[in-house]
Amino acid sequence: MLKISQSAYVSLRQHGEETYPHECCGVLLGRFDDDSESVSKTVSRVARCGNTREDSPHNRYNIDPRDLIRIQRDGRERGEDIVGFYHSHPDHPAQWSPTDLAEAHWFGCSYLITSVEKGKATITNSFELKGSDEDDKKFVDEKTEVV
Amino acid sequence: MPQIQIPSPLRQYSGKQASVHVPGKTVGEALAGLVAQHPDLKRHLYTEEGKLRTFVNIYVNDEDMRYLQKEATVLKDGDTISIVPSIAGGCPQRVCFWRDGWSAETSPNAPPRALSLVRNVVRRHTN
Repeated sequence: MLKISQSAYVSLRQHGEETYPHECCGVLLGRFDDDSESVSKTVSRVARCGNTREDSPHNRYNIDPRDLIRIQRDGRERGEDIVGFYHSHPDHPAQWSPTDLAEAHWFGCSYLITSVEKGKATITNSFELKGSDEDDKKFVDEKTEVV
Repeated sequence: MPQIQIPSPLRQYSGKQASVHVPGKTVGEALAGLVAQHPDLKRHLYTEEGKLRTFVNIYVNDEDMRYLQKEATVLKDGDTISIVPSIAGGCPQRVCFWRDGWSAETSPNAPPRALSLVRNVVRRHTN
């Protein structure tokens, strides 16, 4: 279960519209609510990032690790943790791709994908990266609640 | 003693600690100290050949160690090492999995032969 604040949800969808036809990307900040196998997360805010894939920004994204270090540092000062990431699929379904899975390494975190069709954000889906290592990792549909 | 920041997915292997202090004069020594303290971290950071996994970025303060002296980078008092698994993705083939099957999108820039190939693959898997 991913609970996300209305303002964070609106912000990440707007980000996808603003960067269309390129992919947007960013970080979900909040807290992990328990340590059970099915981790619940609450997102209090998002941190927008630039897409460093200037060679193919319409269908690839990459977050600069230096952005992540800065966001992580700011989050710690606010008592927040990195609980996931978001990106957009311009004119493409809000479903994970083989590339998304291959490039996902943050186990237990949420990967939120928003489909942006002709410049308008449509469906947003969340997937949690499950598994114990690179060999058995998989994305699992995750229920999202906007609170 | 350098401090190593542990990203959230790896904390289950570091006793749930977000940061760990380890001895070490270089990045390599500090990382070796980390996996000595928390052996379960090793397979998530290193390949079986002992090389750092390609998606694991190591930063000293705000500098990528690959642009310093890599694992031989000498540490100073107060330095912070960050372990940052990469974050990337995308749909380069314009083919994505749907909940009820899979389909293909047409890219205006895709060569016609590539599109034909994709359509044939999709047709074979959906009919």
